Amino acid sequence: MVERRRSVEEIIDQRYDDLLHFVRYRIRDPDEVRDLVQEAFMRLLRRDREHLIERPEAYLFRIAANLAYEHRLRSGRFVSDMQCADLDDHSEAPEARAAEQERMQRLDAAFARLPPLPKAALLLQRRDGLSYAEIAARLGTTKHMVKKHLSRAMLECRAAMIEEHR
Amino acid sequence: MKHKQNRIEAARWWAAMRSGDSSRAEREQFVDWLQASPENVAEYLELADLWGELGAMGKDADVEELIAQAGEPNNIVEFAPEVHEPPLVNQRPRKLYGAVASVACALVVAIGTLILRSQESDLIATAVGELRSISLSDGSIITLNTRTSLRYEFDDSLRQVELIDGEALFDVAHDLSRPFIVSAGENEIRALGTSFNVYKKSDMEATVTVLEGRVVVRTSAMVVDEQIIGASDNDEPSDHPQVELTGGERIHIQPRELLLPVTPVSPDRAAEWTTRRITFENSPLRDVVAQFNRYSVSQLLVDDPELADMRLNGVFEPHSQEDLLAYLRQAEGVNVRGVGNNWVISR
Repeated sequence: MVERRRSVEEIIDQRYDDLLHFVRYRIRDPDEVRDLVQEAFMRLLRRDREHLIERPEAYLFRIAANLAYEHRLRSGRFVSDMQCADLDDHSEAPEARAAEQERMQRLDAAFARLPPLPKAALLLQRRDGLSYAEIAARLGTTKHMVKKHLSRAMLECRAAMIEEHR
Repeated sequence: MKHKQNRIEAARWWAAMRSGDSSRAEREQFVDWLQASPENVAEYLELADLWGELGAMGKDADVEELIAQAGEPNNIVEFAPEVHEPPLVNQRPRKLYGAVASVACALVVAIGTLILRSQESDLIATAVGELRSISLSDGSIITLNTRTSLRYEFDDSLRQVELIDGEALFDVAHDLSRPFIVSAGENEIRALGTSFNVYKKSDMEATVTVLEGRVVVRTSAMVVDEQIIGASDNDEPSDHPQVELTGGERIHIQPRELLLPVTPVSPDRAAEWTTRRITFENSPLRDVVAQFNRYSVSQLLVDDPELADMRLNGVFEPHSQEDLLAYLRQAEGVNVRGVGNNWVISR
């Protein structure tokens, strides 16, 4: 039943999740991240516009995920087998794990501070996978307002993470 | 709290892209925005990452509680000053106006939650090739197949769905006090707690398949002297032909058949389309093509009666017209040619 409720977009999102996550945690050098984004941007410019317009987000995620993968291949070439094992998901360096933990705590706090309706909209979309129409029905509001709540929730979470980081 | 302009825009786009019904013009603007600067790309990827992490948040949070909180007056006051209205295109934010507007919005939301709680209605439609599920406040789930539109209206005594066009699977939550009624043109399906599929081909013609439980199908499409008449005012519903179906039974209602034949069917097969697959067993090409055509704007035409009778077996993805075309191209004596957007299959 739950399986049936997931849209194709969500399934695609989920698959890219891992690789986008990889962009941040595997490529720790900020310069390298910048290079990757720059390259993603260039590929985006080269991509046929008509195709892009059809599903812009899916194309962007695919480009970024491919770049992350290419980066992994490149960096993997120069490390020994032992270090390769380090690249596995479950054996992160302790400092990286601490950074990740800290980040999650910040996100936790930002999430807790969200106003009720943006928080409800976010939960219903992200956690429960409801459509905007369904969320609007639950909150007794319009799809337009759902969009606003969700955008606000994302903005607050995102901003909180940067501010406290500095 | 001040936000960087492109951060506001990114969040705005993120929400817009998740709506599931972004217009072409909107997506065009989004592409423009992405292509405007690598910073925008970076910011959007940050949100993608954040979205992944947000999956772990609020696992046990109670949405109803949040909704109730939002309705409390003191909350509206808190809510107002912090609202951001990120503009789609570059526009100077007008702060005072924004604050006033958001107080108004908050009030509308607060009032809305009070009034709309007992009533719920919406119009939902899918595009060609789209598959979508919605869950309703009572726990029922409706899954819409390609090119389908329906309207639902729930109140305290009745759960009504009008299948305007297409096909939908209904997983109905049990509620003895509120019957769940689906109307499809001149046909009506009544259920309590059950799961059933309705494919409406026209106002008169429909196929109803019950996966689980029990439903009553009633049709007001009657044949009198070869003339089809719909329901009229002096019609008593009890005069209409009706038939009861249980799990694993299917009925096909056609305008010119008074006798309603009930056929056994595998429940798995009936809901197969929700997995974007269709199994054909000894099916004539004519039916196979008709199925595929439902999922695509570009249409297939079989231009040969014998070919239309050709039997096919196999599991297909109806969304992938290319697969069927590839299959037909390699079949002996079959010729496939493109005519404009469409394909003509001949010998």
